[in-house]
Amino acid sequence: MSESSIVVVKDLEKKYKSGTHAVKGINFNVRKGEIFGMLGPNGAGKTTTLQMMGTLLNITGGKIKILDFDVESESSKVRENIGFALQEAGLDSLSTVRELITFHVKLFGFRGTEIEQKVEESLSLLDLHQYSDQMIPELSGGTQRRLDLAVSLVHDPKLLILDEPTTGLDPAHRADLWALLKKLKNDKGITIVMSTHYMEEADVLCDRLAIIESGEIVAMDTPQKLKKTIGKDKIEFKLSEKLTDEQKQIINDKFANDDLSVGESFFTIRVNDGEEALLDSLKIIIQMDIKVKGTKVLRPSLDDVYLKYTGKSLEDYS
Amino acid sequence: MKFSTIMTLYIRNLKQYRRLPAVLAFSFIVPVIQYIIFSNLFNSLSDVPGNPYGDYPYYMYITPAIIILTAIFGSVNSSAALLVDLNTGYFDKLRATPASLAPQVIARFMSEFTRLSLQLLLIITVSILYHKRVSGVLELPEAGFLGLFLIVVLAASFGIGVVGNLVVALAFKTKSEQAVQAVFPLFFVAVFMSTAYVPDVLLPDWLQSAVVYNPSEYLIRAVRGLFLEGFTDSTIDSVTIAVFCIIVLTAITSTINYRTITRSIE
Repeated sequence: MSESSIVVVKDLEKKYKSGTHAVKGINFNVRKGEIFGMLGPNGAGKTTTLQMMGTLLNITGGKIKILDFDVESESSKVRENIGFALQEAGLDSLSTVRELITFHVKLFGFRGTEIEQKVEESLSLLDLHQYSDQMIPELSGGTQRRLDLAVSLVHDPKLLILDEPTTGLDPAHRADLWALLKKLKNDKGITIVMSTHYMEEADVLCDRLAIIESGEIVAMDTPQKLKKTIGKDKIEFKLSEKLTDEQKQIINDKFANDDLSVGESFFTIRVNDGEEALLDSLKIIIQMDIKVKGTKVLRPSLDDVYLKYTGKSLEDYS
Repeated sequence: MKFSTIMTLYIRNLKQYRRLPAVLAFSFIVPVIQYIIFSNLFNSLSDVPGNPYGDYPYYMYITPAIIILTAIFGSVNSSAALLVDLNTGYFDKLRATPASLAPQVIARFMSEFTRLSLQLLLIITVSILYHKRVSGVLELPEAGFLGLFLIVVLAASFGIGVVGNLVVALAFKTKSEQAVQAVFPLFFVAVFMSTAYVPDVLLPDWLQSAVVYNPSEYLIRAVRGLFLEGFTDSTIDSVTIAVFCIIVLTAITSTINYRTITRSIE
């Protein structure tokens, strides 16, 4: 394990007795303090991988080391050092918020005055004070997710594993949770491994990303670098009139180095930074007395990346 | 596996029942109702010629049966809180904490044993008070406090060890309250097909032959001996056979339960 790696996954496999080969020899490392994402559709093997990391499923091949502890032979050490929030907020429906947090604080061995101190810390961190005496089923989906995170964090874990943390949440609650996860990463230095099938979420949150398809990692890098593999930004200019041959010739001369594509009443160029290049390009076009009806900057998306590596679009799942 | 983790889970499990009063009430009220109705309905059974228990009022004869019925009722309901955890996903969430799998299962059996023992003590108290009301005498079972302790331990061990293991296995397999409750009639019939309500010699011939194959019969004989006769040689024999039956059956049901639970995490 390299010094900065919190998680080392080597040749990991999961074969169910039914014959399903859910994870097919994947490898990845997660560095200290980063948010590492696993992006893929349902059934890709994300949850299975996370559940093996969280000691919830038996490993049938390969190794996982978390904080240098082997997940199979040192599972109790792993459980003491991780926080795990499952796909569905799994909470005790017979408790109040405060009772549940208190129980988890005790479960991790805190005693005496530490208990109340830890409970108050958790309520404050996740902004749950106003719900502290409410029964859990009475809480909204977003608040239940926050509580799920609160109980996963009571022992200040070094690694937080989140399985599709925002599935089922409305956009406002989703944005709140993103902000919270960023805060946990920045303020507390917590390393996060999460799965998602939302491209926007992967893009906004993850420092590095593994694209997983049918139990295999097909690409892994920062979202920016993955998108770079697709190519440059594309600027599309829609024109009010059809281009004359003379105008086409001038455009060809001016944008010869920008992977130009010219149509009857539109043309596109490819540049490194579309938004930065847009204004300069427009000035040139206006000088040529060409009337522009509209412009569009198209940046490569993670869906383009997914499409490139798997031949399928993830947008259907989102 | 830390003892403190098991104790934290054990206390939490017991506290859960504050929010499941219907489960507690149901497994207590039904046996009490049966006790009162059967005591009055079949009171004259004590006068039937040839009844070896004719010296005892009928309500005293059926008290062991009601104790066993409470143990079975209580054990079938022992899955209620577990099912809440399984169906909300909380059981799995706890598995990724120091609670893991084994401490959760051990703490669950410990808390159910405690709850059931308290319910059994309550039903025995009801029978003692009923006896006082009818006869005017306040008295413990014939075997005294030690006998009372043994009755509770035997009945709770049978309930949790045999019925509870099967019920928990079924809960893991189906995650359905209805499926779990559906097994209750099987145990109910098992109790009826014993000497729980009618002495051996008054049973039809075919049932007299079948009774020896009914494990609950041996438990009822042991509890009845402790309740009515005290520590006689025949009671000690009955208790020994009952302990043997409970150990063997618990070993079988625990194996079934263990396999079901481990398969669920493969």
